[in-house]
Amino acid sequence: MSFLAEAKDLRAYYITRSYGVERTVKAIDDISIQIKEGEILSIAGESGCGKSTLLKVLLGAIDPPLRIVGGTMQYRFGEDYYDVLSMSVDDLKKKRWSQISYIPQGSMHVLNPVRKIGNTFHDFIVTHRDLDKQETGKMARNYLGRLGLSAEVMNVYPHQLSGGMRQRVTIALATVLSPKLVLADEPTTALDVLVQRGVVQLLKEVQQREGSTLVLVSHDMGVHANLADRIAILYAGKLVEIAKTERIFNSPTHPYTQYLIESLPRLDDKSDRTSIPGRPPTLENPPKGCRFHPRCPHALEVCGQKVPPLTDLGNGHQTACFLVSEVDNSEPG
Amino acid sequence: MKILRDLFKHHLAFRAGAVIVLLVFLLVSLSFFSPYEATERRVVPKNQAPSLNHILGTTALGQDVFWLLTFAIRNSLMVAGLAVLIGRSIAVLLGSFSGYMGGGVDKVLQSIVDSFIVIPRLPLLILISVIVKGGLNLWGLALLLGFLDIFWPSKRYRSQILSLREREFTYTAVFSGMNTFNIILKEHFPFFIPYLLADAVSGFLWAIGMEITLAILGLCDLTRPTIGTMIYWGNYYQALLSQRLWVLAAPVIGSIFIVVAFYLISTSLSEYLDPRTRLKRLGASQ
Repeated sequence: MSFLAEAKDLRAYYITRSYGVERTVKAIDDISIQIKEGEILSIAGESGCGKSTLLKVLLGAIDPPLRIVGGTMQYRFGEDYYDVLSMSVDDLKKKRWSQISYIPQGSMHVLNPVRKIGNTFHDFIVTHRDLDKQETGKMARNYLGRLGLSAEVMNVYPHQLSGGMRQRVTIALATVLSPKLVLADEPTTALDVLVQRGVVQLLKEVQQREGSTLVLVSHDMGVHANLADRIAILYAGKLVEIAKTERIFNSPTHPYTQYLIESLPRLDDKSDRTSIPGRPPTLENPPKGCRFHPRCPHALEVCGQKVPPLTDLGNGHQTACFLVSEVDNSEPG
Repeated sequence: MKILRDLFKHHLAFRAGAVIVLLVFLLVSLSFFSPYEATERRVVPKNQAPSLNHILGTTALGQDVFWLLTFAIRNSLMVAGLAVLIGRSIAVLLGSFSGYMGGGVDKVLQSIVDSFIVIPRLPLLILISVIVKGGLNLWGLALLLGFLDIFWPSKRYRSQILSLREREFTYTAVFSGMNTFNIILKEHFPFFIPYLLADAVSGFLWAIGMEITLAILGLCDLTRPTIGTMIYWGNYYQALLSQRLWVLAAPVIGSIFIVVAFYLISTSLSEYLDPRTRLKRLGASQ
């Protein structure tokens, strides 16, 4: 199986220590996930469930207080495997932007306000390619042209662009070196719906043209439905369900996913939408067993005691819920 | 050069400032052609009102006010310039080093800086001047002013750096693999330079003011003509009471012009160098 990045039994905690008090926030607790070559993988979930942290680990941007407590994290480029956790900083720097790129959340301040866009492009390209200013300018202009953006943006300052334009430029900046893996952290947040659509289309276009792999973090299920090949649902630092997009939307198996899908408005259905009762738990002290069981309408006794394992339902559909695995087990073979 | 020409053409404040500064430098360069030595006394009739022979009059010590003023402005500018050069360059290094290093280095440096900041500068200068009793020549004064002008500014530069290194675009640049030196040079300097320019001019003006203050109090080398010592000697011989205002008017008006000119230049330059305000002005004029 050709994967591009793989996390195994990953545990990433935020550990802070001050005045003799240690706080541990278990932002990612035992997650295994494979990112396949050429796919668009979406990561969904409520705020504070570990989405951004997972992205940080995937980027190899592990700075204190975030610490990897267990598990492994690998990249594969061509035939070479790279262990992110033991890679040297220099190696990682070389890989970043040229192989693994990042579209930050909210492009408002991503571009240096006192430098023209063209200079920013130049700075980012020469870090990885040995080119002079004319060549980088040509390269950036060509690339912007291919994305349907006017080359004029090269000569303006970021504040002269609209929010949507700025986000598009940021996407262009992140993908100008044709990276294999692109990670986007809520790329459509703070944009209006129309602009969102344009940005989503641009992302898809870039991914298809360059054959790159896109990992997308968002809590906008609409964006997921539009873009993703596969969707991973995170809840309280755990992977609760992962499947192809249609399966997640048509036949979700985990109660949390079911809630998420049911909360979406539908054209033909005008009834009120219900939200999930309760709030997500603090990651400092998550509930025992299945982390969703205090909010789950179908909670069994076992849910409060044991952690449900990720069960394969075939076709790449995996769920961590006793409702599914118990039923499976009780079926007479 | 093109920037300066553009500014001169289109920015009224810059034009005014530049013209005055040019005049000031013209005055300074005239000092090299003075018919009298800088420290010479009793070379012209005393206490003459401005006339064709002595366009700004003469002092009670028998000096020509105009030629004395050329020396005075030259010396004052040199003292202030040297003080700024010493003070602010060390301040920039100290502040940005402290800001970029952070952590323990920052803590140690800042506690040293803090302990100097709490010392009030004017009383300290007066104290030192009293102790050396006029033995402080112009260079000594410049050094002292420069030294005292390290700590507050370094704090400001550090705060700029601290803010810059937490900006989103810095993170993006770091993430993209750009090395630290390039980030400082290409991403941060464009922010920092306009600030530094405006700030250095304010330091320059502070140093001129301090020199004048100390001289008026009679605390530095009074034999050398500076703007401050001209006022001191004018007061000493009762220029105000005996209505020989021309003795005081020349240095006072001269210093006001210098201050205003440098202020105008600094604000217009920093406004121009910041693309946001520049483009705002462009947009407004269209």
